[in-house]
Amino acid sequence: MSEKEKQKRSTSSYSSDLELKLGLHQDLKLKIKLHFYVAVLPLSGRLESMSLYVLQIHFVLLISRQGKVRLTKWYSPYSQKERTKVIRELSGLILTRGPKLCNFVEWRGLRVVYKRYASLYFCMCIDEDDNELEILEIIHHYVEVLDRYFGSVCELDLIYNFHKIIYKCFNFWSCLTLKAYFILDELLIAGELQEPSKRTIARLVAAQDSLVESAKEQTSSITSIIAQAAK
Amino acid sequence: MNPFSSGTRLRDMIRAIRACKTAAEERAVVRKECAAIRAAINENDQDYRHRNLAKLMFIHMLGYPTHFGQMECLKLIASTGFPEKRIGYLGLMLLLDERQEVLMLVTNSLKQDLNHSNQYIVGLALCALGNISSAEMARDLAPDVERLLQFRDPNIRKKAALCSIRIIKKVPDLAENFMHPASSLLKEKHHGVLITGVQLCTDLCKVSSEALEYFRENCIEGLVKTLRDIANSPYSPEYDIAGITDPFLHIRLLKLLRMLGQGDADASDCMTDILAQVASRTESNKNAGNAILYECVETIMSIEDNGGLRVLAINILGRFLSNRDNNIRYVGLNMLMKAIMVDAKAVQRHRATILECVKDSDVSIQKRALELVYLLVNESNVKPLTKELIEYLEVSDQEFKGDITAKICSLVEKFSPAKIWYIDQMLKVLSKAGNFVKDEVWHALIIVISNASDLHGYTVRALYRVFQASTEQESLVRVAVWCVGEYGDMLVNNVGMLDIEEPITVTESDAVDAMEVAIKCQRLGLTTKAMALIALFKLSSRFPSCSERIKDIIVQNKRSLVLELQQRSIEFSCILQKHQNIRSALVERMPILDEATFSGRKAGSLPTAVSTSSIIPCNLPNGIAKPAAAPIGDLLDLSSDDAPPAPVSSGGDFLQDLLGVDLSPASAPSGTSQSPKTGTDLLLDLLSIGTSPPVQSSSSAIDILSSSHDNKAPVANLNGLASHSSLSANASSPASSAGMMDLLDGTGAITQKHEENSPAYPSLVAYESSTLRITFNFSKQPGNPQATFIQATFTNLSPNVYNDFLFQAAVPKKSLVMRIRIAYKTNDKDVLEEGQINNFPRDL
Repeated sequence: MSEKEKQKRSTSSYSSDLELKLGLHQDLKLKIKLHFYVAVLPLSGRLESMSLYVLQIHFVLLISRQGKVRLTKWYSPYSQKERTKVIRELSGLILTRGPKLCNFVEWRGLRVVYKRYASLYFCMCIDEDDNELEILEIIHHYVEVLDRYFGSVCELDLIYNFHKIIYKCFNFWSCLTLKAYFILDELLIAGELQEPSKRTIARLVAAQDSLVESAKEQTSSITSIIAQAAK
Repeated sequence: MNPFSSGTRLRDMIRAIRACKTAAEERAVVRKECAAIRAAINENDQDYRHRNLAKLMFIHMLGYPTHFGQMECLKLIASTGFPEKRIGYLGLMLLLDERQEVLMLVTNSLKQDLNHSNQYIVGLALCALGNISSAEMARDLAPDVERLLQFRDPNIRKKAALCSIRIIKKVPDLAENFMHPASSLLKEKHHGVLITGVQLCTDLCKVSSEALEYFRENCIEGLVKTLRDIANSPYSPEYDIAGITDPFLHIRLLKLLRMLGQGDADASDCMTDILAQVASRTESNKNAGNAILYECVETIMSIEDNGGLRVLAINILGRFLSNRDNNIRYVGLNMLMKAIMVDAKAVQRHRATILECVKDSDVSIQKRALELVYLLVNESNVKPLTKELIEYLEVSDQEFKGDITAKICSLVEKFSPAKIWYIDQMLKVLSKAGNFVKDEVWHALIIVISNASDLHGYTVRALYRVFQASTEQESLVRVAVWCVGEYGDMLVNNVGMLDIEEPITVTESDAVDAMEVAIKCQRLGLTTKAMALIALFKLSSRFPSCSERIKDIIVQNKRSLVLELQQRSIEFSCILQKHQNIRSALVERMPILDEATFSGRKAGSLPTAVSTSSIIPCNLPNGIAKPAAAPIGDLLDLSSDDAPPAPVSSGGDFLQDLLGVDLSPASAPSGTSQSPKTGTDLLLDLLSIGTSPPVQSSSSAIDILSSSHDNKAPVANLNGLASHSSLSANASSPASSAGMMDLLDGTGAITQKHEENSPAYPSLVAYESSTLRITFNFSKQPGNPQATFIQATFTNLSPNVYNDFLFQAAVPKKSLVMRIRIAYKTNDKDVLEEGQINNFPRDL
């Protein structure tokens, strides 16, 4: 079977899947189907709908050494099915690479830049003609912000501390992992770098955290007032 | 809070999922959790919405469907508190993407939040819009975003700038609205705003030529100044990376300058000084510095020509290549690939280094380097480069060999200075990695050999030597076998000896030995063995002294379990035993194969191959005017498709057809289901072991026979046969056709007898559908009038291959009726056809 036919098959199979799952109204179904066709990956892996413009970063993945996904962020539209497939393919490609090889993997006409910190692989997918070295810097930038935010003490011990952070933050997917998402949102928007200053990012996230805290206190005080009033 | 609310805590759920030992267990836990969340959603539970969404995000990350939670995101976003909105937007970006219709429902909430008094909420809305907005949303919310570009807080301005990028990418018509606000961002001091502003301008230039002109006129000097300031700026801890102040800003400025300088000499002039400064002064011992150099080189290569700068840039790349860091080398190779378009000579200087990179231990680097070498090759350096690559072939990784051989073969083909060199190189490649080459490669080699008539002797001797050394590489064995078959006499007599050759003594029986090895070797495939059998057959007339031995070997193969070999050896041994008079014509050397036809064939992909099978018969009704070239493809096309052997016109061509080992799967059903056929059919079969239309191939057969025999009678007879291939024609002159028939007596002896003796019943089309026709022929044994032999001929009317063909027949006791059922597989589908045959001849 030629590659194209395969492509076609996969398209038709999952557009029908979607219909089943959503049980949508007929018209809506049609529309969604169209959208799906647009989104089908051509041979190169770049989305057809993307050919009009170029994103810097298509997606960010954090994968543990065992192949468990810790964080995903998609800036290009990939359907849930595609996402699972991408993750599977990439963990197969990246986790098997030796330690001294270069940090770039060619994949479906795109390029994946990855870097390992402790037991965690940070991967970012970019276009073929983008600056891979810069992406390495962005990954490191993110790691440093995480490090700073989660309160490690000294710069020299980054890897060691980061090990702890990763354990706290990612091995146990929790509110802390949500924090990692919030930090990422202060670092990247639409796949583009937003802020070169680590301090600013940490400050912005912290400010929003305190907003959440104060809102919680308020609710709990209101609850206690209501509780007291009920007595 | 509602103490009765069901559901576990996020932490407990994750613990439960992680404790699962099997995938089934995990699915069960997730299903239970999802059910609880759905229930909570249905009850419109307020208190745990937050927690439920967090759970859903985790479940989503595990790859389970979470679409039922999408509405929950919208509800959280629509609520008033910051914590709810924060998690709601996060869920929105995670669980949805721009293609979901649900997204449209969020537009209103987004609009409100973009105008919220709390700047963090505005920030959340901008972030979500930037990450997942659809074209409709972009259009609706563009004015709000445009306004936010002037917001007092810089952190909102930078978010708005990135959001604008998404908007103009989705709706390029909106670009001009953003042009002026974007240019004012370039004057900012805040790095975040400056970076995003520069990025926005770059993207505006990509979508709008108007914006490009505008920025060219108004912003270049400012940008150059900003870049100079940042490059010369003193240490600033906030933005410092590896001793460089804000490399991200450097890179973005260089990118924008590239956009502006491309195709505009004046603009390019403005920036040469600063580019030279960045290129020469940036520290290259850390990754950040190299990232800047990368971008700087790209810019230098893209802007209008400036010789001095280009030299600088290529030198930087040269340094990249010799860097010890794999990343830098990889990037260097990549950039050189682009630079080759601009300045091929300068890149050539780094050839040696690049060749070293082909041998790197890193696959990514190997691939890049190989691509680059491929681009570097030209007429003048093809010899040393090919030599290097072939030498490397020996030690390279298994999985990389395929790539390298493909590249070497196409280089050798493209730039070969002389045929002898081409043949030499190809032999080297085949002997080192013959198992990795595609069929086209050795097909092409055979054609080149066939065309180089002065090198026939040289080639066959060289191949014989390599073959003696090893039979590991199958495609090499095939070429060797083919050449020995064709030019075996030159091998033995040292015809056309070149000065550079070492003399070699090969006796006739040595050559036959070699072919016997190829036939008997377990490792070699059917195609190779079939080729070796043909080669032996050809040698039988080239080496009269060995013809007895050859006959023995061929006879041994009559018992082969492989149908193809068995059939071939039976046919050959018949010819050897009974048809000495036509043998020499049959085994004549192949005419020179036509390169043009072959390359045309190579270019035409599968669909054309299929279509030819239906077109050729119409175009060439009797196969007269066709040049001898076409069958070559057939001979070479040992396994590819079911294209019919093309019509032919001379004795030599008959040979090709006869020898056309069409091992297509199509021949399998014809071999199994059609075995009890009439002699004529078998003859047709012999002449074209494909699934070609009978009329065409038989007419070609007639041509041949008329040129090799001077006997017109059987020809005319055959002509009659060919048009109907029915028994009646056969019966009208059994004696004359018998002469032809016994060519096939290895298998056809019995059936032939019946035909001659009882030609009383006409054949009958028993069943016909759109895809299948069954014809019955009847015959009676003399002295046993009760028994009737029915020969069923199955004809595949479709272009597809049938597998697992099953024919079942049932006959009721009373009347002369037969019910049939045929099952087979085609295109992976099971097909079942049923029918009833009522029209048997009455007097049967």
